[in-house]
Amino acid sequence: MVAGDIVLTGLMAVLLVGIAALLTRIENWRSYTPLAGGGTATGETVVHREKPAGIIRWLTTVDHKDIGLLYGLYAIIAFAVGGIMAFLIRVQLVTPAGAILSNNAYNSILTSHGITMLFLFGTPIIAAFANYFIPLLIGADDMAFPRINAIAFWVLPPAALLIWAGFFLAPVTDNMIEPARTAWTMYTPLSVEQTNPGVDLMLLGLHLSGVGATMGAINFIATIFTERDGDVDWANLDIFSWTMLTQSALILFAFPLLGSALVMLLMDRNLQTTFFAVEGGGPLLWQHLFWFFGHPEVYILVLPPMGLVSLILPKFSGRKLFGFKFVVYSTLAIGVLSFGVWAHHMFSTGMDPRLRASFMAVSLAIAIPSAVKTFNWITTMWNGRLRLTTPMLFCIGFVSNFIIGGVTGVFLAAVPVDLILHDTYYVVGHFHYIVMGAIGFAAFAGIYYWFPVFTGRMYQRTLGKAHFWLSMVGTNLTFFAMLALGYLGMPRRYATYQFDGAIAPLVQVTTFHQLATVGAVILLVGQLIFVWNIVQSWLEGPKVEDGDPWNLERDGMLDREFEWFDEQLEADEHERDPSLLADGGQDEQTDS
Amino acid sequence: MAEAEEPGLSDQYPTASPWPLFVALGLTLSEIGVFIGLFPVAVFGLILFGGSVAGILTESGYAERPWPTLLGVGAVLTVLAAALALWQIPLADIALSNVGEGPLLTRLVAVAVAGLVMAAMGSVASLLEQTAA
Amino acid sequence: MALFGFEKDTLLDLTVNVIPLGIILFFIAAFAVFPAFGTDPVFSGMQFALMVSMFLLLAVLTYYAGRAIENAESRQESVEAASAVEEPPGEVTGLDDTGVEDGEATQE
Repeated sequence: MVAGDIVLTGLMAVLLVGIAALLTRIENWRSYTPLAGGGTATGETVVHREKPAGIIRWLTTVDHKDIGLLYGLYAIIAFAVGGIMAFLIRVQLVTPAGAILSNNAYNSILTSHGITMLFLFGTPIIAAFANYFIPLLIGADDMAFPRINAIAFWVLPPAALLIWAGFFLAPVTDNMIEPARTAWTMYTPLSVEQTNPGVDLMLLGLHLSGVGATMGAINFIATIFTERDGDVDWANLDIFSWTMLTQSALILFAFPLLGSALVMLLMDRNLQTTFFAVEGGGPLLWQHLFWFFGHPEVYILVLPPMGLVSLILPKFSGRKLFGFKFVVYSTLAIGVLSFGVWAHHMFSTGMDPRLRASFMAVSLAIAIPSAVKTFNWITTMWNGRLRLTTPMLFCIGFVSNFIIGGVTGVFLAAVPVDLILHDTYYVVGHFHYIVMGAIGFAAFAGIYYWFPVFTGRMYQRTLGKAHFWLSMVGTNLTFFAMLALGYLGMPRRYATYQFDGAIAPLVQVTTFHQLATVGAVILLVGQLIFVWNIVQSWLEGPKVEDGDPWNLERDGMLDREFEWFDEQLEADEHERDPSLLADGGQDEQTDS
Repeated sequence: MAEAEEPGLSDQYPTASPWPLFVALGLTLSEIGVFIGLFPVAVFGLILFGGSVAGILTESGYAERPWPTLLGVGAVLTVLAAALALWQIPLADIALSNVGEGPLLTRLVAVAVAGLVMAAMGSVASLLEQTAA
Repeated sequence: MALFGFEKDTLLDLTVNVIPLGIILFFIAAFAVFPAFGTDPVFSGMQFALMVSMFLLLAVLTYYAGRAIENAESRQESVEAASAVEEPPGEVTGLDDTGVEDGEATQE
């Protein structure tokens, strides 16, 4: 142990000295002159070359567009990791005895899949769009605090490494540190009693990702309030910025609470406190704290995608968003009400029936603002001139999946129904319709819609459509089968399901599990096409020459980000200097 | 890249700063060190965090020189650790010989050591700069 | 009708949040009239506090958001009106609704 400490000390000392040396090499500390306010003028027109070259550019950037791209790359990698985990889960469940994984491995992967998708994919992919496009949409030079923006991103890679730490460390530490097996909800007493240090690492990773999300949220609120261009005000603020503003407010109230609860859990685990012990606050305290964060988190994840769809769908319908202000007010309503529904995750815990009833009331009320939006989207398309481009297809897919996911949620909000379906695959199907079918689809819509802006190139349309149809069929096959499994009483989280066929419909359950797995295979093929399409088009796709690749000007719907893009293209043409369009990270590209 | 006499990265490029990466790294290492109870990681992580905060505040113009910030962060950490120790640990058990025994004391000593190192670095550098000028 | 000092158009937009408010109100009334699980000072208090606080928070936020948007709209209108007045003499008609002037005004 002492030897280990000395090695660790040496390692840390070398690291610190190395960092100090690196900093003195690349940075001139004596040159700092105090500026008022500490802002950085990006001054795109003044400075010819404003970014260092190569990897240093990406490690040191405080430009909102670069940080947006970093967030995007990070989220896609996390999506791939979480997706492979999901695929393993589905393969495991193809037979009642479990096909490939041990129960422990299954539990580890199940836990990491949830946390990866929600915290390492969902939140960052939204931050990716918001970082790149909010300043462009509201006419700001950059975010209000560019450096905090960069810090908020850079806590995420260590967070991911910590959350996955058990998977890396188990082989080298002889299974002394294993991946956490707490499920993503980390319910006590299970999460206190698992002595595995991998749980501590995962909790720390979550805590860090929460710190990052909070810093990002503060930044978005400050940016949208203070950095708007003179002619952007509350009356004509775009819908994506509205949803980001609401989302950031939710983050500001929800994530610090998660952070505190996580610290309490860490202290219970390491410092013998009794916050969640029976003699202290009791295990239910964790559920209350977790879901007081957890339910707003659901809306943190879904509001900006709703904003994306509200922004993109009208563009390909040839009509302005129907009832723009309905969408704005209902977004705000969701924001408020989301803090009054948390215990609907806990209906079966034996809480007082009067409290349960009031949580049901608020949960039913929150269905309205969400439903209003679907009607707005449908009415926007009504009699519109629809153009079924890939982003539009994903928006329509979003609406369709969101309706299924939403309606199943309304059933779950009713106490008597919930008591029957609680902890079954019905719940899993319900929220996957939302997180994959809606949030994932909106993210794809955003990626395709803005692909020309951030790469300067066009994606391959046929591959894009193949991606959509495979995703749509795969999503509905997988998650509809889960709804059916829930009605058959299949409990969630199980690694195997060797029931007695005499008391449970084992044959049907097996069939639906296999259908869900087929859907997962289709989804996987679709996502492989997506990654191929994005990478190849980014490197070799045809260059976009027109600042209005979607022909939006005809309908008078060209937003500021495409106007900005047009200016970039013109400047590019003017100077014939590829570095000006280098926001896509194509330093090595030359005009051929 | 640039030599010491040349302008630094953040002078040369308006949208680049080397500090955010290290603030994040420092925060990560401090959290791991303090919560998992790895003494060296906690000390060096906190120093990296405090140093980077001092650096980024200076670079963005919120502070004129980094050293007072470093001194301040160090002092706050030391006081915090001392206060927590006095509040949570019986007075008789607070002794250097007990480091490594109780889970709380070891962690607090790590925080205090990091704080003292930072405070010392900050004050020495301040003094050197003032006498040189 | 100027309910809470809003214009008719804004009131129409705000109806979208009146529906969830109405649902909460309905349940408050229903639970007050039919206390199916009996009344208890602590739990009934919490039950109604939750619903009432959500109702109030939503009402207050809706009110202020409506205010902010309505104020921004009227400011926009007055800016447009003012920029029409400041146009070169001879073009100050205020009757021109080709939209050309408006487009130029917003560019400035």
